[in-house]
Amino acid sequence: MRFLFVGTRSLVILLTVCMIGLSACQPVTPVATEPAAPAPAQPTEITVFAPSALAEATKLLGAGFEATQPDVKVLFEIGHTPTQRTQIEEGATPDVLMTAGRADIDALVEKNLVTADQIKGLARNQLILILPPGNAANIAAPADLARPGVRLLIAAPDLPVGMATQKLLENLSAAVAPDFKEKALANVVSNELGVKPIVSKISLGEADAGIVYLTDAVAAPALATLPIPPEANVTVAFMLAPLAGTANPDLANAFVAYVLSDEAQAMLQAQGFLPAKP
Amino acid sequence: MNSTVPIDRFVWREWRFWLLALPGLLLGLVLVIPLLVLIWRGVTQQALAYWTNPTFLAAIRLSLLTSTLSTCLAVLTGTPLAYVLGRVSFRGKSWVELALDVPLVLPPLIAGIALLLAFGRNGVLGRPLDALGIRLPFTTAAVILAQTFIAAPLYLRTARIGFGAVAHELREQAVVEGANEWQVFRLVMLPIAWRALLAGTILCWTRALGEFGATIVFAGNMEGRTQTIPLAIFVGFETNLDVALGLSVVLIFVSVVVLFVLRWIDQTYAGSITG
Repeated sequence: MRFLFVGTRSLVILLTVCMIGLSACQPVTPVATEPAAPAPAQPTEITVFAPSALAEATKLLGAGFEATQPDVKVLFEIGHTPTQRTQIEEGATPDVLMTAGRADIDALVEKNLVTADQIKGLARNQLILILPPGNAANIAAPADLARPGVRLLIAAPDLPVGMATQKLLENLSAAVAPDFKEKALANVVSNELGVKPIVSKISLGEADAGIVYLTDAVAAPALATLPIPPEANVTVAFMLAPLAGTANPDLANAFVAYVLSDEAQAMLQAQGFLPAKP
Repeated sequence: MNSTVPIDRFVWREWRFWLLALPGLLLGLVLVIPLLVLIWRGVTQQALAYWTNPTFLAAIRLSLLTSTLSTCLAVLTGTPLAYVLGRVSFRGKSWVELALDVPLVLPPLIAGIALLLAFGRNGVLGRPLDALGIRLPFTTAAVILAQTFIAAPLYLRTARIGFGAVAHELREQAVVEGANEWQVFRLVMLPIAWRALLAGTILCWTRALGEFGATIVFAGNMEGRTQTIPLAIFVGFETNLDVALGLSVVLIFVSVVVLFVLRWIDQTYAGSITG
């Protein structure tokens, strides 16, 4: 038995020490000294996957929903919609999914992970140009994005906001010049992996202009913005639906209903979102 | 070579053996299974058929270029620094060494923000550079700088330990026999410490190859210019899982080859260090 450098006794001691160590990590249960109040029921938790454009809104939506439902806790998982779609396809089981754009949630219908008639529009968003402090490149109109030497930040074309950005550049080509999109894309210095990094990098003055959601500009009031002509702007629909496999369909439906309620819609619109129905 | 005692046949029947073996087995499975699953899916889904995908190829080309250049930078500047730190002693030296080790344990994302604040348009170093017409963020140079920041300390540390392991007497003897500083370095230190330097170089290169956080923050993401393999994997995860899988298999393959080379160096030249 050469491998046993330790005898049985020391092993037992070792294990006991480990157990004590482990139990010390757990919260100490207070010794009942007085007739305790009825233990609060363990709150029921539901998990909601949400896109980063809704990050600020989820805090309000979560608090608002929890106020209507005693003993319920909403946990939000913020991420890119296409990533969350992959996660759900690979077996993640949130109770509710919120998406930027329709494409990813529709793809989940095909895999029977979401039921088509349960998908609801929760809000809409549009695009806007943000400019760094000082506007060193003198951007005065969307047409300036095609000027040689301008450093432009956009979202990666695979993200919902990135797809909308590509569409916007096409629309602007029709309005400005046929080669606008090509020239503007040549000015792109980075396809950022999300809108928030664009806001941060523009705030630092690292690029001359960025294309983000309207709501991001509302959330960063210090940045100068340049509106996009309404006829060229692109609208992104934000959707939500309970997951078909939720363990808590009643709560999931209640959450969806709350997000569509007047109270929640008012919260969303205060953050710059447009109503779900034009 | 460390020799291990072959496991006694009877050991398997001993419950105390399993008391030790089971937790270890559990960790082993947690470490190995996910990688095997990834490789399996990458191979069975023909993710490697994306070999000719332009995004895939551009990422591999850029990664090889940038990680090699950042490793060259690390070796060219890190070797003298490690040597000097090993030769001279001064007040507060341990603090200097500590500062040089910080990037090793720093989350790369923070390194990226620090680089952006230092070398960005309004940064302490970025402003004078900007005046010279040099703008680093969103360039391939920024990728190399980010990788150097993250990976060079790994080389530096390994080299420092390598130089430090050379026996004092050898160096002193060389000096007594009339060798100048360059000859000591060239004829005594290098021939003995080269194994550590090589290992450090390989570790540094691998770390640079896998760099993600600092790159995405400081250099951004642009195919062919700043989109390295890890960035392409991240983007692929959101759009085309097969591209992500294919590139992941490539990186795992490289990592395994590197580990083999390191082992080979270790075994072939074991004992060549005196001291």
